[in-house]
Amino acid sequence: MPFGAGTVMTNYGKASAADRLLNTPTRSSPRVVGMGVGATGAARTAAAADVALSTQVESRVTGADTVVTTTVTGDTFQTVATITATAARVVDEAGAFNATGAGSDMVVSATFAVINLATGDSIQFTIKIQFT
Amino acid sequence: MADTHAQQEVESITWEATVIRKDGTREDLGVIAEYNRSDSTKNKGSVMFGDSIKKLLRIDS
Repeated sequence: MPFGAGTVMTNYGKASAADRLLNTPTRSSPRVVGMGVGATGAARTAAAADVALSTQVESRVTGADTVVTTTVTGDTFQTVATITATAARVVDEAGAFNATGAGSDMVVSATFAVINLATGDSIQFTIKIQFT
Repeated sequence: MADTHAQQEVESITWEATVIRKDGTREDLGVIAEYNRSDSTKNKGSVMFGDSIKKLLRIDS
């Protein structure tokens, strides 16, 4: 593991949360998930890098987004997405985005202990954002 | 006067993962990354906050 696991809402995510309260939001749900390799602590502390994975591997996948209950009814956004490795991967980073195309639009970032994948293996990510 | 301190905050962000091997075997890794505003014992590893998230989550130090 290159550094401690952690998760943050990015600057872009903060703006997206506000946008999603509009009567007609301009940004889509952060249901799209991407995974990456080679994460560094330095990258995650830099605001400019907070909106993209260090090195994305595989295409982003549109997850199934729902509202679920953690404490108060309907207080939690959830997306579930499964990404399949097309080659051996050492995954240590992922993000929730609101678009499938490559771009700097990561709403929530996570770094974690290395997950080793062989070709054809998959990771099913479940991301929850609870509000209080 | 009504309470003027009510605020909306991110209470928690949780990432769970399940590895699905090519042969169909599933390995539930559970929570791989987590931030919890009210219960720091649930936080996974050292959570790194930039200035913006500190303001959003009202972390002063």
